This record gives sequence, C-alpha cells and structure tokens, in this order.
Amino acid sequence: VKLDLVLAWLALLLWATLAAAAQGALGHGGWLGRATPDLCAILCLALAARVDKRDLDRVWITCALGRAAVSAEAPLAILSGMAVLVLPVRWMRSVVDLRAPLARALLAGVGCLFLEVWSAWVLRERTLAALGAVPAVAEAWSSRAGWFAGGGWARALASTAAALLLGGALASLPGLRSLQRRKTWAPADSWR
Amino acid sequence: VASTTHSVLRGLGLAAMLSFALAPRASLERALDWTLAPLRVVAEVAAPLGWIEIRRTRASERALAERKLEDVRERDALAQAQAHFALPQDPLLRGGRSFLQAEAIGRPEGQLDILQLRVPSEALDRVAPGMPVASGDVYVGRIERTDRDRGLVFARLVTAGDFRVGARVTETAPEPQPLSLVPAEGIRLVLGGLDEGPTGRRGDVRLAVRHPSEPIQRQAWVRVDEERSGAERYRAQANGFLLGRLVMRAAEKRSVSFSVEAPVDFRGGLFRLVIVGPAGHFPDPGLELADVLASSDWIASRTLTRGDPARLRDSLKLALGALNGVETGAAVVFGARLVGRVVRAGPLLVDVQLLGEPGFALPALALVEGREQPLELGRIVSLGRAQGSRTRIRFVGALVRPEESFQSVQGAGDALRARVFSGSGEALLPAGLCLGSAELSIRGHVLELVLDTQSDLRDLSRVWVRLGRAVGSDSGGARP
Repeated sequence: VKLDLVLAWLALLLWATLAAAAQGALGHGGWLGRATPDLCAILCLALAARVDKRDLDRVWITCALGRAAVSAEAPLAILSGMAVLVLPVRWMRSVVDLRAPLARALLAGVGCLFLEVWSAWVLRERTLAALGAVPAVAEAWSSRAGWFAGGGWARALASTAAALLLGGALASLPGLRSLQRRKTWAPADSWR
Repeated sequence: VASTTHSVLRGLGLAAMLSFALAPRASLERALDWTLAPLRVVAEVAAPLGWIEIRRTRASERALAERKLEDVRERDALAQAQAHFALPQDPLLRGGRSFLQAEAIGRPEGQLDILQLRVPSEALDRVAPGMPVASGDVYVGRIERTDRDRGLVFARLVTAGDFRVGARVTETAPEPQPLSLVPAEGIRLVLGGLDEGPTGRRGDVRLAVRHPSEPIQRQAWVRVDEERSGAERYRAQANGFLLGRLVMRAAEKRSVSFSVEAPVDFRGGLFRLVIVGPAGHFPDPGLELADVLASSDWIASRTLTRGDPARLRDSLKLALGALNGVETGAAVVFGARLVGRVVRAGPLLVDVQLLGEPGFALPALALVEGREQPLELGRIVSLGRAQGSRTRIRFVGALVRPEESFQSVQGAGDALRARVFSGSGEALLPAGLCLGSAELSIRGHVLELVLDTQSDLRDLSRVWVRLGRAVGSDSGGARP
C-alpha cells in the first residue's frame, strides 16, 4: 500500500466531511438555506467520474462516511443513498465523458434530487413505524407531512449550478490528485 | 464470470442496504455505530465550522438563558395545577376516601396496559394491590403490585384485555350529573379491555362493553359500580368514578351495539394520577416536586455541528457517547428548555433529534391562557419547521374528546395561546420541561400547534443530556 494513496483517501474523507458540515451550516433556513447545494454529493460524483473504475466503491464509501460523521441520518441510509448515487457513473462512464460540465451538472442535479427523496422516504418510514402504536397521530402526521416538494427541487437546482461551476475544482482539492486517472481519453480509459 | 459475480453480489448488497435503511434492525444499527466510532475524530475536525455563526450562537443561547427563570416558574405552576386536577373535582367522590398523588413515569417494555407510577417513598408501604387509580373524576385502573426495591408502583389499566370492572349506566348525557341524581337501578354491565369492533374513527381507544343487564337504547354515561364484585376489597372507594360515555359503535343486522369512550387518553395522556384509599389511609396526598434539573442527572456536552447536511433533518452531533452513560431517548436541554432527544448513542458520538425534525414525538401538555386545568395533548409529533422560519415548528396530535377540552376556552375557530411542556411516561424524558409558547388549533380530532422556541436550536454550542442513571456526583459543574 502506497503511503500517498492512503493519505489521498484520508484527504477525501476530510474534504467530504467538511463539505457535508458546510452544507449543514449553510442550509440553516430561509430561501438561501434551501438553495444550498449538496456539496458532498457533488464532490462524490466529480471524483467518481475521474477515478479508476475499481476505486469507485471506495469513493462513495469514503464520501458516505464523511457525511455520516456530521449527520444524524442513519449510516445505512447514507451509505445506500451514496451507493445508488454513483450507479449512473458506473453505467455511463464508458459512453459519456462525465467530466464534461454539462454531463456532471445534469448528473449532480438528478443525483441530489434522488438523495432528497431517499432521505425523506427513510425518515417517513421510520417515523411511521415508531408512531405505529398511536395510529391517530400517525395518520394525522402522514396526511400533513408534505415535505417532498419545495426545498428538494431548490437544492437539486442549486446542486446543478454548483456542479457546473465547481465540479472540476472540487475534484482537484488538495490531496485528491493522486486518486485521479492519468489517461486523458476518459471513455476508453474507463473500461480499464 | 468474475465480473458478473461481482455485479450480482454488489446488487444484492445494495438491495440489503436499501431494505435495512427503510426497515432498521436495532442490532445491525448498533453494530454499525460501534464500527463507525472513529468518525468522532473526523467530526471534531469539522467542528470549527460552527465558529462562522458564533454571533448567532451567542444570541440564541442568551435568549434561552434569559427565559430560564420564567420557564422554571411556569413549570412549578404547571406541577401545582396538575396536582390539583389529578384529584376528583366532584365533591361526592372526595368523601370517605383519601388520595395519594402518583406520577406516571413509563410502561414496561411491550406492556401498554401497565403504568409505572412514582409515589412519595414514605407512602409506598401504604399502597396495596386492588386500590383504584383515577385521573380527576375518571377511573383508569387499579394497583397491581408494588416494587419496593425500585420504589415503584404498577397499575393495570382498564384497557387491559383481562381487566374487568363492574359499571352502571346513568341516564345523563351529554354531561354527567352529581351522583345523587343517578338512578339507583341503572343498567348494569361489565367493562374491560378494548373494543375490537369498528369504531367509526380510526385510532379511537374505546372500552368493550360486556354483559349488559338489559339492552342499551341510548347514549349515556357509565360509572363504576362494584357492589356486586364481592372480591374487590376497595370497591367502596372505586364506586362512582366515571368510566366514560356509551357511544354507538355499529349497527349490525338491525341491532345496535355500544362501546365506551373514556374522557382520557390512555395511550399518551396519563401523566398525573391519584391512588384512592379508604378515609385516613393516605394522610398526605402530596408528591414532592422532583428537581429534574439536578446536576447529577445530566451531563454537559459541546456540539460538533451546526445544522445537518440532510435538508429535512434538524439535528445536533454531540461530543460524547454511550461510553459516557448516554442512552437513546434521553432528553437534551438548554436551561429548562427541552431542545431534543438522543436518537442514536454511539460509543463516542451522540446524535440528537431536535424539536424541528419531522417525526420528533413526545407526550406533552399545555397551560392554556384562560384555562386553569392543564390540557393534556397526548403524544404530539413534529411536522418540521414552518415555511421560512427558524424558530417556529409545526406539531400535530390527536385529542381525545377535543370538543370538551376546548369548549370552555375556544372561540369560533380561534387559535389558543399556550405554553407547552413535556409530559411524563417516557423513560429519560422528565416531565415539565418547557418547549416554548404555542398557538393551538383543532380540526376535527386533530390538534395542530405552532410552537415558537424563541431561538434557533441548531445554533446551540452546548447542551445537557439526561443520563440513564444518576452519576452520583456533579457532572462537571453547572446545572442545565
């Protein structure tokens, strides 16, 4: 195991944690809060499009751990959400250059919307399971907790814009260079 | 082949993760918490991000600290009002009896029909099995046993499947009348257990009617009448207490059947009760006010995050863990304010679910302006923050017989102003912790309240966590 690679993965863990923590701190409230991009997911996708295919799993696991360090979401929900997030990268990287601004922006927007819906779905299932002993309250909560709309779309759009502008820079944060492939022609290289 | 095998295994692993995320297994989550314990180091690295909002943090903490004395005063007023209204209000029910105040502090695991009660320690020896337990004028069950080692009393509720109590129908509806007006020979029946038939409204808890002495024709009130239950030692003390209102449950093949709707919330609303004994048996009904903010029961902690990366989550990450004695479900306070509860206690990290997270649930009661009697809200659950607000949180609940709870104070469609407090009945969540001021409104049986916490709870840099057992010494200085 090369020391520089170990340090690079630790750097990714650190950057993912900071990205998730900053996203939490910025997303406190108000319209600006709702439009905070999902920085951790953007970092994950940007790097996933640049690493060797066999390192893909390490990327999403490391980003998920960074997010779990600063989030109250269940670690399993975060891990599974991140795993699904990188599925399109795994499938499409051999046909589309996902490092291109438009492709990575689109991917980030859809991916962040998925994470929003997934997070809401997990919260809903767990809450209703916990309230099962009080059916009247569970029913009232279920009929009024309409939180799929609104903020989720705002964050997805903000993430699209942020990925367009910052995606490349996030993948090149200090310490992450050695994780990236050296070859220039991404589609052909990604078969490796 | 190897690639296909890898893909299949990866797919199966992903399916398992998705499934366990939606339907969690406690053992798996616990194992993961311990495995991920080293993440505490990473969380510490991100902690300085909180300094960005240091002014907001100071403002929020100052606002809560300034209200602490008022919160404590209101909590004491609430406790006194609870003690007063736990006693029967009907003078006829006070005669020939003595009362002992008891606080419901929980239920044994998986036994919703058993209440654990805290009574004054010096009165524990006077409590005997069979003694009636009441909430105001309402009969709710009887004493099953006492646990002297733990200083607890266990009461069996009338909702238990094998519970039976003799009863008599009175001809007085919709409001009960004094006992002297009750016809001597009303219809007799036996009550006990929950009615399992269609109840008309989902979520209602109604008592099953058994063996009426003659067909019931109309709605009426039902009171305890144990005269024919020779084995009941304390029947004289139980007689006359209200059980509830007979309501029509279904019309089946031209026959009408009834069940009894009790005027209390058996699941989430029994906070302060009285144990009824013969005259002079309990010389002093008082229950001393426990100092819920005693420093030996709490541990101070700094917060590691400000806000959660997941948009819907309203949480804090704390720099302590199960190794410090923190357990899941423990109350988290700042001053006398409840700010959240521990939702996950890893060995080195604790996740706190704040009041503003959708799904945060707790038993609660309110001191409503213009109403002396505390309003038991039962179990309320958060819908999340009001649109665009940092301090206003929407809650929803279900009231038992809301028309009577609100009748005396509510104008046409007006919202009520109230102070909301935690109720008792859940382990590690002390009663009487203030949540903030609120506007209450009701639609049908659904209670809606908009709580104002006066501070953004996500800004707090330090909080106090309730410990599972008192540590026996000060938790490093200041009380919450």
